[in-house]
Formats: sequence, C-alpha cells, structure tokens
Amino acid sequence: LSDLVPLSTLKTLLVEALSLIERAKDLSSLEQLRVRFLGKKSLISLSLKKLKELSLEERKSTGAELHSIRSSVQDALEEKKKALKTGSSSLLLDWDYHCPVYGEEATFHPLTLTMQRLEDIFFQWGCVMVDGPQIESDYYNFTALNIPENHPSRTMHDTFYIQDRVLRTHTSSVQIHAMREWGAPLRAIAMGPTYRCDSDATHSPMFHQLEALWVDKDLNFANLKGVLQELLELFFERKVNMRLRRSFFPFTEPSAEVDIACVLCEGQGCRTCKQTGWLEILGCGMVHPSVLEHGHIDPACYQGFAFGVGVERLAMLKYGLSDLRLFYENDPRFLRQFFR
Amino acid sequence: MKITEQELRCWVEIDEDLSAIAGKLTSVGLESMVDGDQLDIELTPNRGDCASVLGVARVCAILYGQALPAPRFASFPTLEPSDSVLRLEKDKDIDVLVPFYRACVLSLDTALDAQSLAALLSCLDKMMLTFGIPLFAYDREALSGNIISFKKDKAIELWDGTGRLGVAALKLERAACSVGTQKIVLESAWWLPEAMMGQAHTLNLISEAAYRYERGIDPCLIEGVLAESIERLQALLGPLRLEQQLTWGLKPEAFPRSIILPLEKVSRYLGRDLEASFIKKHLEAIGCLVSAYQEGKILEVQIPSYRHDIMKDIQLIMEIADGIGLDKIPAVQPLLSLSKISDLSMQTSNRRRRFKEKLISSGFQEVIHYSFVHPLWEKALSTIAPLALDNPMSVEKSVMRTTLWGGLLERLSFLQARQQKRLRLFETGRCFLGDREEERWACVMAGRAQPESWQFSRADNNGFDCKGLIQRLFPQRASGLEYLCVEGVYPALAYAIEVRDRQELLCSFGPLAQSHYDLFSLQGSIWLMEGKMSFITEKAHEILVIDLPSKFPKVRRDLSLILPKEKSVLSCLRIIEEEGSSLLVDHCVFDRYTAKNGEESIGVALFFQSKEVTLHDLEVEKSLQAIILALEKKGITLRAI
Repeated sequence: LSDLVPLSTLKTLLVEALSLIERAKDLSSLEQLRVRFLGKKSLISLSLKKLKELSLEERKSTGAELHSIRSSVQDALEEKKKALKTGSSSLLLDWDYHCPVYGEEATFHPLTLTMQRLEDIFFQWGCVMVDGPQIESDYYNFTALNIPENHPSRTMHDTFYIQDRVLRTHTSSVQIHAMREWGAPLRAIAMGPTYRCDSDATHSPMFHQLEALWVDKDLNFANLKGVLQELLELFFERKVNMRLRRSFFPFTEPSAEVDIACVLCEGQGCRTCKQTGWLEILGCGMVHPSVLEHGHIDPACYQGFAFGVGVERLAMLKYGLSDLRLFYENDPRFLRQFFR
Repeated sequence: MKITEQELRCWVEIDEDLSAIAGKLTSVGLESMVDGDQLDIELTPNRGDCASVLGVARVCAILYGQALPAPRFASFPTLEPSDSVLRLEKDKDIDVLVPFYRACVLSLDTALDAQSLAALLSCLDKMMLTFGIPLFAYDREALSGNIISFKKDKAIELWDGTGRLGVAALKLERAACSVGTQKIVLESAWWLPEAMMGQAHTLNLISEAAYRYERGIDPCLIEGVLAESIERLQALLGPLRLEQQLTWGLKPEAFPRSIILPLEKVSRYLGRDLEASFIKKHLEAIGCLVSAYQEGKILEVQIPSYRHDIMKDIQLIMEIADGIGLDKIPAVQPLLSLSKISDLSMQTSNRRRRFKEKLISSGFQEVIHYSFVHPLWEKALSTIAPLALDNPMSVEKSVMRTTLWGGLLERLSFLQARQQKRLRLFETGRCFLGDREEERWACVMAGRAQPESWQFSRADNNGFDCKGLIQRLFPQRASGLEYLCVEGVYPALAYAIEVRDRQELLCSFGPLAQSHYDLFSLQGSIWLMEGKMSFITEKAHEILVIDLPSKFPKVRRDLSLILPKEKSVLSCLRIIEEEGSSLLVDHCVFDRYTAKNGEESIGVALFFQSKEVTLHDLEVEKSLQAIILALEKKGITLRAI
C-alpha cells in the first residue's frame, strides 16, 4: 500500500471528506461527494483493492485503518442524508402535528415576579400603565423634569449618551409623556429598565424602576404618605414601619426619601441595614409645578405626587439577597427557586 | 463634604455625640456618616449653603434650638496707597453674572518663599471651607499694563495689559502667586450660579470653588471673609500693607429676595392646617424675615442670602414640612375610583403575563439581560447597524441590541461552560432599531429535546420542537399558520423559517449558524426563535383569552385516514377544521405511519362538544359525515372509524 497512497494522505482525505459532507446543501451534492470519496475510482476504494497484495500482518493493521476511514465517510454520508431528508426546512414545513413539549421546572425571573406584584397592587388602585422610550431625548429625561442643562443636579445621574440622546436615567422621564397623553386627573405607573454608569454589588448599569404619578385637584403630601404606607404593606405582606427623610429631587418639592424598618432584622440592626435598623427604599415628593407645566397641566388647578422605587432593591429585600448582580447572571439554578 | 467634630463645636455647643448629630442631619436631608472624628456629609445639589462649616453649624443650631450668632470678622486694615495703581475694567454685561466684586492689593514686607506660599494657599482654602467663600490670590507684579479686565467670551476671562490671564474664578494660566511674589491681588466675587454652571465641566476645570459657585455662595459674607483673610495672612506672612481696593456692584445686602406664601397653599400641599404663628416661628428659625398680611392669610418671607435653594413658595413649604417633621404629617389614603383606562392596561399586562406563563410551562426559564451588548454579537446576528453608546462602561456593553439573541447566546455559553447542557431560556425586552424601539420575545433551546430519563429519546432539539412550541403557544391558530423559508434576513441562523399569521409575521426560528458556534463558544444543537411582543399584546389577544369549559360531556370519534402522496397532514387537518361544525372543539393526530410507497396513514381524534346541551349521537354523526365527505372529495381515503 505504501507505494500507492500513504495512510497519512488518506487520513487527510478523510478530514476533507467529512468537512465537505457537513457543508453539503442538498442530496445531489451529497451524491457527488459519495462518488468522489467512495466511488470505484476513489482513492479509498483503490486502496482497499490493493489490500490483498499485502502480507497477512500488514493486511490486518492497515486493513483495519482503511475500513475505519471508509466507515467514517459512509456514516457521515448517511447521517447527512438523513439530516437533509428529515431535518430540512422543506420537510419541516409539512410536519404539523402537535409535538409534545417536556420540560424541566422553569419560573418567572424574580424581577418579573416583583414587577407583577407591584402591577397588581397598582391595578387595584385603578392606575394606568404607561410607557416611554428607553432612548430618550435630553428634554424628557432632564429639562422637562426641572433639571436644566449644566445644572449641578445632573451630576446625580451618571448618564449614558447616544449622540444627542440619552439612555433614560429614570422612569420619571415617562411622566411628561403620560401627562401629555392622558391629561389630569391621572393615576399612572411606569415600569421598566433604566440606565446609569455604575456597577457594583448594589448598583447595576441597567436596573428597573417603578414610577408612580398621581395628579388630581386635592392630592397632598398626607395622601402620598397614605399610598406609600399601603403599598409597602401590600408588597411585603406585613406591617411596615416607615419613616420619611427630607431629600432633594429637582422634579418634586417637597421631596423625601422613605426608609422602612429593616425587613431582615426587624429593625434590630444587621449588615444589610448597616446596623441602623432602617433601609432606604424609595424617593418621593409632590410634583414640581414646572414639571406639571411641561406636562401641559395647569399647576394652579392640579397638584400631584410621584415616587420612584428600584425594583431590584425591592426584590432583594423581598427575597433576602445581598448582591444585585445575581439577577443578571441568569443562572437557571438560581432563578428556578423563585415561585412567587 | 467632610468637617471635623472640633470645627463644628467651635460654632455650636451640642451635648450629643457625633453619631447622634449625623442622624439628625440625615433626617433633614444632609445624609451624614461618621468617619472617625469627622462628619462625612453627602450634599444634595440644592444645598450650596451647607458647603461650609458655618453652613452645617447653621443647620445644627436649628436642629438643637440654638441661635447661631452671625460670624464676626476683622475689619480691613488702613489703606496705604502706592504709586502704582491697578485699574479694573469689565465688559458691560458682566455684572449681570457677577453682581459684586472686591479685590485688595496687598504688599508684603518679605517676598513669598515656599513655606509662606503654602501657608497663603492653605489659609485661602481654610476660609473657603469655613465660610464657603472662594478667594483667589495672584501676583500683582506679574500683571502688565497696570490693568485687569474681565471679558465675556464662552466663559468670563481675566486679562491684563498683555493678554489673557486665564478663566476667571477657575484657573490662571499665568500671574499665579509663586516663590518670590511680594505683592498680592486678593479677590473674591459674587458669581451667580448661572454664570458658572457648566463652565467647570465644559472646560474640565472642576474645583472646590466652582462647586460652591455653581450651588450659590452667601454674597453677604464676601467682604467680611476678605477682611478676615487679610488679618490671618498678616499673622502667617508677617506685616502687609493694603495698597488699593478695587470693587464693582452694590453691596449684596441691597438685594433682598422675598416670596409671597399663601397659608392656604401650605395646607393644600401638606394636607394639614397650620397656624400662621407656627409657620412664622419656623421660618424665622431658618433665618427668614416674615411679615403677615390679610389677617395672617398671606406671608411675605424674606429669604436669607445664603439660601439659594429657596426660589419659590413650594420650597418654603418644604421648610415648613421639615419644621413639622415629615413623620408627623398624617398618612391619609386618597379617595379612589375605578378607572376604565386601567382595564386596558390590565388586559395588556395579562396577555403578556399569560404568554410568559405558557413559555414557562413549556420548560423555558425567563432571563433578563442588559440592553447593551458586544458589537461583535450584533455584527454576527443582525443585519441592522446597532446604536453605539458614546460613553460605554466596556466594549462588551457598548452597543444597543437589535435582537435578543445575543444576550441569550452569551448566557448559554456561560451555562454550558458550567456543565448545564440542556437549556431552554426565554427573554422579553426592548430592541433598538435606529429611531425605533420594539418589544420582542425570544427563546433559545440547546441540548436534548427532552430531559434525561430512561423513557425519553436522547435526540437533540430540532425544528419540530420549535414547531411544537409554536403550536403550544398559539393552539387556536396553529393549523392556520404559514411556515416560509427565507434567506438573507437572519444571519444568526443556518436557515430561517418565518411563521406568518394572515401575512403578518408572528415569529422566526431556525438553527444557529455554524459559524457562530466559535464566536460564542457554544456546542450542541441550538435553535433560536424571536417574535414581536406587539403581536401578543395587541393582535393575538383572542388566542390568550381564557375559555370557560363546557359543563356538558365531550364526545370523541377517531378516524383512520390514508393520505395520497401529494396531501400533507396539515392540509388534511385544515379540511377537518373547515368542515367541522361549531360542535368540533378540538382534534389531535394520535398516530402516523408512512408506508414504503410514500402513502401516509394517520389516526385523528375529533372532539365534539356543545356549551348548551349534551350532544346526541345523531348530531355528532351528522357533523362527522360532513367531514368525511369533504375529505373523500379531496382524495383522502377513510380506512376506518
């Protein structure tokens, strides 16, 4: 055999054959490949014919190799042929009866569960769900929310830019769209991803926010407190001790941060609450009159309140998690543990 | 901002320890942490008045019910004029942005050395930290032409007789004090926040002074701080003479700001009636002067010069709320009424939720990925040019996705590397297509079609599983859907099939193209599917409607049919659906056999049911015969019933 075709050459030929077979697009090209590699005049067939000229010992060792090469090509051809026949798109188009789908356990993402829970609460209160673009104009994200260009309060937001637009840094940008679309009175929520250049165990460059905006003639800060108290108790399904601290948001005045007694240590002090017994949970306030004006609502007739809460933050507290990044690692072994 | 306990206690006498002070400051919006003997205060952009020890002391004094005396400053030394007189010039509109300016030319007995130069700069820093007033010193003898002038270009620039010295209040490019300086020009000014806003960032000259100017300084302190600085410099640098004073504008005390506050508005905002005397008392405690009109129903409030954050009545209401204590405002539920609008929102949300439930019940795990992805993924998976972020955090998150497949495949690779071989993931989310944003759903299947078990096949996922999934997701439409092969639209797929419902694209699916396996480090059989969410939430709502089950029994009839070569099972089922009366509620192919001659034989179960009555055999037979007749007309042979 060695004076005809070296075994190494045949092995190289095998690699080429397998590659070409894999790439064959239809049955006719596959047939051409069969003739080329296994036909009577093919190198493999000719080599097999020459086997009888070898000694018994050589025939045993070389023969086994040669047969193995031929079988590999044959198997590949058969497999490809089967695939082209059964797995081809043309066959697929005709195949139409109900295919049973078996699956392992799967669940909603915990962030989805959290958002659904929030949605349910707000729908009970007759809120409308509104939405806006995630790639937002500077006007809706900042200017209309009383954050003029170059104002230092813009530094509170680590903003991603796309040419002359921004990735919305908060769902508050939906406020103006909602007011212009629905007018007053209004009870609206917006929920979805928001973006800021920040990443660590408690911050993510993309995170989800819930924004609530209520506008009516008689709404006041006491009503805001009432809604927040009930929201938190419905969400955590328990009595929640809440406190408000003065804060600053350009789009609300008066503004406050809301803390709740740590749900993990019952206010006794733990790592999560940094031993304070309190957890910062959301920002809120009465809608700034200039924001109402941008929303084409007369601030002399109407006033309202708004609050924004991080969905990840709520989910972490609800499920007792300390690292926000787990939500975006998307490991089913982690995610499958959340049922409600 | 950090201040030491010692600095604070110079101004106010407080019995409590630093952590108790930090807690109280936090409760009024100055979020504070104790760091050793220092208070680390995170200032919000509105509280420029607290960017000094004096400012924090003011707040502490209010919190602890103390009266903080006005700071006492030294007076200016006697003027000792010299021969060389410096002239001050400015563009006429500059005083709109800088209403008040004051500079002193000081002559030292001995020129500055390295140590005294450091002492000078340190003294100016200290004055800024204590009183919040930035001061600047530059070398008088380095100024040519005995002139300094302020010119407005993009920023306000400082010039001398030769040319530009630098950006005023931010950075001098020449004439700064150095070793050897003997005459100093020491200046301060009332820059309005709007004059400074954005300049520091635009010119990349972010400084402590710019920080304070952007947030507003107390203009009434400028003169006092300047005089106090001169006295302190004398103590540090030795005797110095005041040779000249340069100034423009009226003293800031000449510009009091007043706000009219109707008490009715306070009650309307806070949901609580308050006595005029209570409001007056609290506003006076924060430094306001209050006059009452119309039987106390209207207050005129004069705002202290350091409170630049109080511009409107609502900001005064915030101060009053603080005075009451936000926790003491009652929590009152507003009156609610059911809204029709919310029904629509609820419907859309329910459809979305139900669709996801179907995917989950089919074994697909929901995942959520970032909307920004690696540009290489986009290049490989999509024909649309993605939008690039101007300031991405990393290249892996530098473009906005145009398909959900990138995140799913990357995660698949991550999980495959962790020995998770059989995976079914789905995601819903926004894709960014140029000016348009589109919500989509997508899923990926990898590995075996069925979980490992003695009773299941070991076969990998294939196109039939995708079809099975579609039929499971859209059962009422399943037999009416069209499956079309398309080319050149989906570079992610080896070949693509679009599923259409009355010409409208429902989704597309196909196996991952071989060339992408290396890019994502993937292995095994991988199938992808993606569709528009709007089809689910807007157009396919009827398929997600929950149908109430009939109370009456279902009747089953099985047909064994032989299909000629040219007839597909699909066409056979369509005939059954078309001819079946309203009593035919479901059908199912329960057996299938292909003979060697190519003829197919199938077993179909037909289910008849009424929502109103129990069906008689006669009614079922009538409907069944109509179906059989139609099938036979189309060349399909009935083998058995």
